[in-house]
Amino acid sequence: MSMLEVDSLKRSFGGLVAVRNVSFKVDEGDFLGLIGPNGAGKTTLFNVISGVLRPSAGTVRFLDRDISGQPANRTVRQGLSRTFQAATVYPEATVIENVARGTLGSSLTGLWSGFFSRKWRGNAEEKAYHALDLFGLRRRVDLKARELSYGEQRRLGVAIALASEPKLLMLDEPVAGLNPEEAAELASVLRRVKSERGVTMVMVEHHMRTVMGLCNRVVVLDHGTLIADGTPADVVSNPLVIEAYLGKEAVDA
Amino acid sequence: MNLSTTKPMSYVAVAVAVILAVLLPWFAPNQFYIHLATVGCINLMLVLGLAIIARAGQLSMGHGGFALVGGYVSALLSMKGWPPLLTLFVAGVTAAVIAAALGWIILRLRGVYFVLVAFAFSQIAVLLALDMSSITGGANGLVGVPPISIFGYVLRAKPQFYPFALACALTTLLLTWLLYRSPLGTMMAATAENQRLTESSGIDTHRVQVIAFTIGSGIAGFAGALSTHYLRFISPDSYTFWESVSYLTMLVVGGRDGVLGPVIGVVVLTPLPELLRSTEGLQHIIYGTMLVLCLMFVPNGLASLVQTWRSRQRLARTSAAVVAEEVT
Repeated sequence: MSMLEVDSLKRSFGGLVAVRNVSFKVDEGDFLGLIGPNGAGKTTLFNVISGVLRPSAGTVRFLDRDISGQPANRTVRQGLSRTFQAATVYPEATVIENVARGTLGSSLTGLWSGFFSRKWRGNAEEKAYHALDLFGLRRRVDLKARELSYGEQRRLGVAIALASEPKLLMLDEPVAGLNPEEAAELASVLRRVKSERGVTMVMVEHHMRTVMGLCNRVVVLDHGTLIADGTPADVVSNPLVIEAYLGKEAVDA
Repeated sequence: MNLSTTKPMSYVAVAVAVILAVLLPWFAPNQFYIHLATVGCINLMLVLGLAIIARAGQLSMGHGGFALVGGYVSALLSMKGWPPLLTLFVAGVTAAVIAAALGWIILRLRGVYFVLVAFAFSQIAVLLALDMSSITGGANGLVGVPPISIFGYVLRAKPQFYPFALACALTTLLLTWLLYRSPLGTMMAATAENQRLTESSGIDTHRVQVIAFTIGSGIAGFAGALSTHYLRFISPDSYTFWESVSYLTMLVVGGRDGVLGPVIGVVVLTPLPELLRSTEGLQHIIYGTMLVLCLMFVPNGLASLVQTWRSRQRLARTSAAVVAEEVT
């Protein structure tokens, strides 16, 4: 059984078809890279899977449950979490508070629990400390998120997503805007998260070195259509992929 | 360090403030000061209600409307012979139920649309009170609302009513503080700061906002009823749009974070119009100038002055810890 099954998914905005009949599967333990030129529909596909947007047609199944079009918050509680490209933290809250907030949705039994007891706070902070250790942010716990460097903020964003204890984590361009050292550092953190927590991951990314270094499978999207699905080595030598990135003449030449 | 640590200093400050409030009738020069303090207690409840709604990231311009509904419900029921002590709570629950129903529909609307619909609700409440004159007495309002009595002890005069109003306000303050520390309060703050991120942390932000709107409006209904039994009178003019604006002003001037802001806003702004009364025509100008100056120089409210001081301490501690760690 696949963890995530996307079946002939379509999403259009008025006349513009952003995602066209896309089907692919993510198996447990995969680290899937989702690549494609700008405007290929990668982020739209992410938004439809995670429930931010409703699909125009097609289905998304997660752990054998149909999750197409259901509210994002429910999908997260079922174990599918995601990050965003921008605004991924609570800027005015402290680092520990940022991650503690991330733990709430999945760990609480009801909205009214913890009104008189402070036990929930201890539990949330303990989980948060574990996540922050993993991301090398332990020393920054008392700073406000906006006081962190850009690279640290990106890592914090992933830590928040991980705090909801997902089985599948979808990362939207996690290393965008990072310098090579920061990108390499985040890549190694992701590798560690994957091995220590056993989290299956899907990543949209332009940074090919990161994709090739981390992913065991890559799917390629162009103009909303899936044009390739295979190992990183297969995909980079696929003529359709080269055409999508470089144009037709490069293939002919 | 634990996030939730409250310094012993602040416990002392809270205890002193509560003792001063309790002892007020003994050192107040005349009954007018007790009246102002009672109005302050009622205002504090209304502003706390508004603060809870704002905590979840929404601005209610219909807050006075819920107070008006609560006031009429309690007045009408108690005039039919229900005990006012019970009708206060019925008023709060009625306002909360209306808010829940309204919130479920209109909180899908974001930002300015929510503000407009909440505003429209308060206008409808005023118009209904005017037009349904067979029940509400129309523009004349309801005169002779029964006073609150607790086990036969009737709260008729100001010095008798004040302790009850103070107890209600302090209870609301305590519950609000507990709410802010609870998971629900944390979710509310998270929703206000970054709704998309909160939603993708598995929290139903729409539900959180509806609950905040329900609690805040319920408190407004209770406070409106309390005020009605204090003044023994309610009319459509009791809670107009301008009352909604003045609660918002108190909240903004005092500060929106935490429970200290509403307290400071109410303490500063409730007596201000009275203090300025001697300046004749200038009072509105002085009031307005103070608001503008507050917004220019302390945009996060007067309470933020305390928070700035605290966060300086926090920064100093953190950098000291980092230095210590890096040196070793």
